[in-house]
Amino acid sequence: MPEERRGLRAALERLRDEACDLTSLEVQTYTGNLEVLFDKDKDVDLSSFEAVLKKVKVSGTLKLAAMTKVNFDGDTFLLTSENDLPPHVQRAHAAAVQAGMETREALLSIFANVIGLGGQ
Amino acid sequence: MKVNFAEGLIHFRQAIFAPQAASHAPDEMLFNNLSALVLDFDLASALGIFNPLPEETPRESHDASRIRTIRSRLACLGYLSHDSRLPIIDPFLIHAIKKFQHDAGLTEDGWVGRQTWHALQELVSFESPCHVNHWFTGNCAGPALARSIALRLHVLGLTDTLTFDDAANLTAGLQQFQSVAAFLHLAEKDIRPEVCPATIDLLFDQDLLVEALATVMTSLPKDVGHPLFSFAASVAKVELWLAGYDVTPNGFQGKEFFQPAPGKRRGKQRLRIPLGRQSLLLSDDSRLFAALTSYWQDHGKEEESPGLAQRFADEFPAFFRMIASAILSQKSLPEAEKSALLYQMVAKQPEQLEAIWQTALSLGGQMWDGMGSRVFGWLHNLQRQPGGKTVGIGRNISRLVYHQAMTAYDIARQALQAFPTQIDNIFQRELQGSDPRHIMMRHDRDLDFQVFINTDGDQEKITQFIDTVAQTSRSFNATCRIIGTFMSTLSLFISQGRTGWAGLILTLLQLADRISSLGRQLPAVPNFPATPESNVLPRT
Repeated sequence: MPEERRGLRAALERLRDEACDLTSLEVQTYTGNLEVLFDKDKDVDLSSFEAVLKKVKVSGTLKLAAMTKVNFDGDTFLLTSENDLPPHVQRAHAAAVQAGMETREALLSIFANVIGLGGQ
Repeated sequence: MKVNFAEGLIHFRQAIFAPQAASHAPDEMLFNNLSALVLDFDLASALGIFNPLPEETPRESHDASRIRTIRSRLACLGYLSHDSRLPIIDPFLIHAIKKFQHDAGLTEDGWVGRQTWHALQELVSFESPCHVNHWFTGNCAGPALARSIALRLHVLGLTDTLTFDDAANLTAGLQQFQSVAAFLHLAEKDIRPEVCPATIDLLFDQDLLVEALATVMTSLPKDVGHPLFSFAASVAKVELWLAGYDVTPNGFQGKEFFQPAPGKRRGKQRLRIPLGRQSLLLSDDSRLFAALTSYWQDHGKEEESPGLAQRFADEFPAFFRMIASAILSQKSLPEAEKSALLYQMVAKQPEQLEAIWQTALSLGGQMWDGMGSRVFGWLHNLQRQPGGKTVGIGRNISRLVYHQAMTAYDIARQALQAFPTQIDNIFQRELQGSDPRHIMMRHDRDLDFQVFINTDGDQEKITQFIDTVAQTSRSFNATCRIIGTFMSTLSLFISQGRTGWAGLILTLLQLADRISSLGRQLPAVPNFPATPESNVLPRT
């Protein structure tokens, strides 16, 4: 199988194995001072998101700033911890929501078209 | 090359008509259809149906028209001593490409990929917008731009000879341009007759030059030696060439105009010579005369066309008004309408596709000129004019169809190539660029996201990260939409019996507008590099 098709096969296998429930989207945005934690604990592997998450959760230095849930039927719920979230936090949260929506839409559109449900 | 339009799309046809077992998951169908499409796209390229720019150094190329165009562009800029028109990649051509790449601050790999092609288009074509500032460092032009300026001055009739290392010739040309610009009120203040961004920006703005020639308000200069006349004739050659007429944009040859004896009759028509100055007439054995005559005939001036062509020195504002109107039409015509115009024209007579392709592939260098703002405007205007010609499938339509389908093909191919890498990036749990000092983003199997923002993080870095995330998801969305709509439309054409290459071309034409608009969201072609400091020539 030529290289290009091998890459395609691997990508689609990943798609099949990874994507589970695309019917709703949930985005949680946390803020906090992670630097303090890194100063105290030199053993944290900064390249591992999971490791950082574990540490900061234990230390309790993070707080949930915003949460959005978008259902497949279009209902959207937004929860924020305070009224005036800093603009960059708002932008980051909105970007994650947008990324989640666009990625779902993209995957659904390509599958819909391949099985003949896509609109023109 | 003879192209058989009845054969093609073998793999895609087999994939969509293969009995789909109930156990086949959608991802298996997607894989089969995508693989088949990739194979057919490659086959279309191998057979010369489409000739995309090579992704890597080509050992050989079947694309005679592109190689001829590259040769011609390099010869125009003096990187080749002459244009042999040979459609082969030889050591002289590779050397010339490397020299150009060196001068343009590009990677010197000796083959013309996207960047080098776009750089050549920018410096030589009259329609690709030239981002003049990219080629300057302060007031110093890079060597590739310096050559392009010399070429432009000559082609616009502002220098008699084309030389690339003659500072006096360059200065003389710029002085001529200054006189023309002053007469046409091209700038609020007089321009400086020197190589500086403001002057060169004007010199390279072909649409603006046409508009200025179209709106000459004052009476024309009495001095028949004024550079305005040679300039207008040379710009007319460029415009006629872009519109597909048989004329070469080779500057002002000095023989095009002559001064008749007062009161002289020519044929049945008495020449109208404006009072107060001797008139200049266009010689009727020049190619410019023939092209202008055809142009006026095509625009419903059958009877008057020879007179209008001959009195060009007096009538040029009317000619440029027509050209300016075509440019304006094109600009005001929505992309979707352009695409539909062309698709409808071809869909009515699909049996003509083979002839269109043969014509387009035989056009050589002219295939890649006149595709920006000219030909669509020309087509649109002709269709609106009651006295205009019926638009047949000729050279212009052929190159429009080829160009439109080729552009869509190139974008669809890019999307197919980008898809596996994008899937890989999208399904990385931790998004690329996450940094706990500023911002981290991750998602789980269901693509639900968690964002962590460090309150002490650098806001600029956070913004950059957000922009990258937005760009990545937009790109992925565009890729999936291009592939999805493409496969669905192609399946429809195939189910209607269009199983040859014609089906692929009709699909591309029908979706050209949508594909082009989504294509703008695909991973960008790397930015054009700024001219390196060491690669700059001082201004004259």
